[in-house]
Amino acid sequence: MILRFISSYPGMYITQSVLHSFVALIIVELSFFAWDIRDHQAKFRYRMLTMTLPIFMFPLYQVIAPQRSAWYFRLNTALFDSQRWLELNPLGIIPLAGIFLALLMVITAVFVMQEILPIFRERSARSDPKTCQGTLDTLDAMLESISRQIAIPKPSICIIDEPLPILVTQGFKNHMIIISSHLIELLNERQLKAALTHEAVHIKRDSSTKTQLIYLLRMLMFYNPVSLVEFRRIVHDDEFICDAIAVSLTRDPAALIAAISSFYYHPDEGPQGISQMKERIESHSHNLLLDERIEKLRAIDVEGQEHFGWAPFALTASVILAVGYLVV
Amino acid sequence: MMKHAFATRLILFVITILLVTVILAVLNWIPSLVQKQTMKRFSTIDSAMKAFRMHRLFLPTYIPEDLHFVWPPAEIYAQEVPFSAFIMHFRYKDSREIGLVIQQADANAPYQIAPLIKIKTMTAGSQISIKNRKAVLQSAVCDGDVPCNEVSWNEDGTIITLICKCSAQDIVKIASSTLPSP
Repeated sequence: MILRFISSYPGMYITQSVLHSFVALIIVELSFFAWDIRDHQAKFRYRMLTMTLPIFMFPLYQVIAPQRSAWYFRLNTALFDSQRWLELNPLGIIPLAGIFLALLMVITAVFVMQEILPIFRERSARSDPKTCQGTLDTLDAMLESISRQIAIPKPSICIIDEPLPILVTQGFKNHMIIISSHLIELLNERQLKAALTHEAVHIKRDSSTKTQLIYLLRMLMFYNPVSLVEFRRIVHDDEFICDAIAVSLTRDPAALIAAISSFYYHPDEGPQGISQMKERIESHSHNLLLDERIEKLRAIDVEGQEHFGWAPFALTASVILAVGYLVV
Repeated sequence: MMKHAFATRLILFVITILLVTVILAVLNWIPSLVQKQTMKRFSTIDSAMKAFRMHRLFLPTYIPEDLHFVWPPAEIYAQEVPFSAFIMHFRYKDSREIGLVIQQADANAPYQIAPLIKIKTMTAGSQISIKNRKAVLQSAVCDGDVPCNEVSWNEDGTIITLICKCSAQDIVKIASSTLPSP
């Protein structure tokens, strides 16, 4: 039953898309080393190869060479044949294909718990939205000047009465920056300008649309462990890119570092329940990302970004496609 | 200077990719150490029989001369795991093209081993008798738009399949020769 599924077209698609993601991930990481790629904008593009190519590789190869899925190709031409591993049954109980599929089911469960359920929870929580408390002239003027500098239509501002530091951008066409009154009290003018510039860069880069599209790809590969990791890294890369661009505009990394530092979150020490543990883990990973952003800002070169090399990028994409063809 | 730096990086990239291919090849080889009875290519029928201790092998004792197939088979494959199977590919004398495929596989196999000669479209099918066995003969068009025929039957739990780029009469003669006389 398991082996029959694995050798069917859906089974081959699932197996090969996971394998192709691993191959793409390894080749992309090696490309960073070989081509000395440190710029996050470049890394973002390379990582997109890991997210997008494996979705199309199997059907593309099947159209070009239908014989590729046959045993003859697997045995005589393929560089790596997944079925050789998946058919292994060392203990005589269950073939490795069963363990492989179980692993993918666990990944799917993680995807549902971490990425689907929160969307529904967020929707139900929206029944009581925080109302905008208006705006501040100083913020408006600041945003006007930033928008003019980076040539975007000035987004509207919404101040909400929240005792937490909140700064997010919403919308796809008509953007709105939501900021909490607590954050306005916490940051000085330089820091506020740095933080708002970061948000304005998100608007300029159309981060919301990009993230939604990448999330769509992620949803298509809900069972894929590589997509799980790479999706987060791409989102983090987007933050690093916006930080770098914001600093190149304000030329004040210290202000952005201070603004980012105000987002550190330490949950109260309370009873040792599961929800507290979950909150602690989430806050730890949130704080780690802030640490990383600050570290990168400390090492940033304010003078400019690296030139993006299309030749290495095209070579890397070609190698992923070529090696992927031989991985069945 | 720029060109030199690019060349150095390119060499480094090629080396890393070569390393990836070597690792993949090694990973592909490991299962054959763990499970030795998986599909392998053999140089002779005897070596395949010895390796897998095959007791029932259906070999053709007659192949019409005018078909110009080379004996012994150009390619021989066999496996015991995940199910037992034996495959022979016959080439034409004057080309490297495979013109006849004879496969035998466990009837309870979880999946079918697709024959190397691919059938594009079936044109006709009929039930025939081969030495008192019920067999299915199908006329078809194979890869390269070549007319071909397939015959298959169940021989005590083993499915025997022949696909030949030859006439129905010829394939039935070859199929009959794989079975002992009654």
